[in-house]
Amino acid sequence: MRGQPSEEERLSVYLAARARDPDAALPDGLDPLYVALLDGLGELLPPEPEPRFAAGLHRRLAAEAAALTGDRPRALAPPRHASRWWPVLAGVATAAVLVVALIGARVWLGGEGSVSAAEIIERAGTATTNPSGYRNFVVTETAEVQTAPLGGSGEQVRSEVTRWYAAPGSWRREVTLTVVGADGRALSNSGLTSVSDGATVWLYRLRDNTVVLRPLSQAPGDDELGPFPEVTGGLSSLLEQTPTCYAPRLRGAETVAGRATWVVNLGASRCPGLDGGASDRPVAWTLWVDKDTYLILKAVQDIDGQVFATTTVTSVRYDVPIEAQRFTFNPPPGARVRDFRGRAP
Amino acid sequence: MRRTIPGLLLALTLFLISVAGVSARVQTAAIEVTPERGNQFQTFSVRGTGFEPGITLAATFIAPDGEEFLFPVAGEQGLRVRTDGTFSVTVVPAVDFAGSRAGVWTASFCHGESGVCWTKEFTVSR
Repeated sequence: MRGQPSEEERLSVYLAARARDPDAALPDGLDPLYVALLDGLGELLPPEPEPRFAAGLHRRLAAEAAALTGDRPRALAPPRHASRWWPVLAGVATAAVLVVALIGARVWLGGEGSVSAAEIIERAGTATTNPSGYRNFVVTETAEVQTAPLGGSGEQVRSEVTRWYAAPGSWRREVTLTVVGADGRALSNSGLTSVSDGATVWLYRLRDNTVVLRPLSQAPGDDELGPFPEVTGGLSSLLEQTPTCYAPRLRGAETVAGRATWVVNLGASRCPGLDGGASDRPVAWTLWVDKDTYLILKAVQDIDGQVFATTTVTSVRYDVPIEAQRFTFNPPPGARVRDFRGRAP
Repeated sequence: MRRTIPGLLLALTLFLISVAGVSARVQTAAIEVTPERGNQFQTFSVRGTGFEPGITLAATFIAPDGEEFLFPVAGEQGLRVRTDGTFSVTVVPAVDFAGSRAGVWTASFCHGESGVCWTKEFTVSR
């Protein structure tokens, strides 16, 4: 995966090249900050003392020292040639320490120096179909969406979601959703329980007390709404669009639900009409990605810096026992059941 | 007779004013859906303005294949217009309409007494 020279190696190669040619170009991937830091330190080194002044000072100090001790002035050994280079060596050593510290800070922030924001997003996308680092997980997350920045009337949509995931075909998601008015009063409640046992998908809509049964299908072009993608929580299309429509930047590292995450700023979409159309103004995204599993643990959307949607994982447990009953569903009494298994959708 | 004619004229005038008022309210009433297109995980808001305060509307969301979703609000069967003539409904298709089709949906709000309906299309993608 690495295969590429490290930052230190790039810096060494560049400094060697610049010693031969002062106009040598910066190699790809080398942070100009390191070079500027080195140059700046070079400018801060103290000037070399004038040799005759230094020799005179040396003689005078020796004579005064002899007078204090009663000794005859002795011819002190002349300053060693190497001592002239001491300030330079000290400066270079300081610069080296600072560069190493800078690189260390980057490694600490990013978890590992070679991972870029683009790679993190790519791995997060891959994790949706080929999870790595865990066998299963149970995740609870909360979300808040403000409708006013999107042109709504000031309602807020609050939801809580719990996801159980055991395999690509075995998952369960329970969503409860409340729409709250601008006055803080609950306007409506709804929810969805979606379950797959690998063959059948149950979709239980709380709003109209209806259960829809259909075969588990991965058919491309399927236009059926729901369920949420069990791994990405609805961010699959965003991850797919990122390489072409967004410019991800690694913002740093934070802890979410006790897990170390990378914080990646995607910015706003460069592809008109492909950002979901939530607003006439561009929507910017920031994602928090688990450093070990690449699960997305937090997502924030903003318009012109005003945050209007936040989804945050509050609890995540990997590789825990999940009872088999989680991956099947019995329609509650009184629910309307619509069974689409065995017939064309 | 002389007293009756002015009375009739007054009644007719009041009737015409009343009809004109209702007509004006109906003509200015409108609904809009925000956003007009989006994916199923987004929040869609339907906002009505210019409606007669206090009236009750029947809200229905119609899927591309014709499946209808009635929209009770806070346990009611209808949607009551606020005193300022507005109402709003918020839905998340992935939750509220799971199992139905992506495509062009229709939000329909009908006044039961007059039979007048206001509709607006919006597009939901996967």
